[in-house]
Amino acid sequence: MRLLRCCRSRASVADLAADLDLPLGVVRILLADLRERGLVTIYQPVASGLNDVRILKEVADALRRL
Amino acid sequence: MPYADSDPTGDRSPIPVAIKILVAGGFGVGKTTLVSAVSEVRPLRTEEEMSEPSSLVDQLEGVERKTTTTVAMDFGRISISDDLVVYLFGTPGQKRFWFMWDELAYGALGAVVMADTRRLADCFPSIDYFERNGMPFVVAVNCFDDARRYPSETMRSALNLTDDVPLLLCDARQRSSSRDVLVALVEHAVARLSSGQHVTPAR
Repeated sequence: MRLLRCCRSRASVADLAADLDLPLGVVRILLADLRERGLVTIYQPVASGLNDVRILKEVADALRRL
Repeated sequence: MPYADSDPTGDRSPIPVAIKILVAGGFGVGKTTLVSAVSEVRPLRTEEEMSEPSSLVDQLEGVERKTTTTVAMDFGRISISDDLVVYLFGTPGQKRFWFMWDELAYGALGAVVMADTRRLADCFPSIDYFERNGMPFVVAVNCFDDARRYPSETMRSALNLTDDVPLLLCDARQRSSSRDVLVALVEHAVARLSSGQHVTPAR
């Protein structure tokens, strides 16, 4: 299954949906099924970055170099 | 943004910090141009349940049982390092798409609202939305070659912007210009953070 192949390395759900050209909702449902069978692990993102001035300054500096 | 992987025993590197930025604004205002100027852009489809106003616009004859509509977004990704990634979502600004914004806005750093001086009103719903949920946003006026230029004070008052919302002029075709808009947004978020306003997930 293509989705499982794409999940060999860690990927965001949005990246998977764009790569496979499938709607986000469809990918979510497929991933939930795969998780039920123990085939994938779903991680929650690190949300603290939004309130971390150091990380945001790092982002601003990196964007300036684009 | 959740991450998935199928190798529970392998890669133990930290989950990357994902910074999500929304790019909103009316049809044809340059959202795709801006996102593609700074990142590799791919279409991202989402099946959404149709709201009432949307079902008046999307012709339903012959498909009366269809209750979802496909919305395509511009999806861009800027990898800053192995553990830091910026995601850009170019989202349709019309009020009839608000129902999908709540989910998109969840956990987002902030938004760029794009405006075109020839159709300024097109960005009102986007500004309304971000003002309501308290998300940091900047307004980027895309300077189309044939559009009249106005002083920023005039545009501020036309948009009824409070003083703390940055307003920038940009040329979305230029990478440096689009980049500056994103930098302005991140700096705006930092300034708000430093003044004690935390970025809270909008829900």
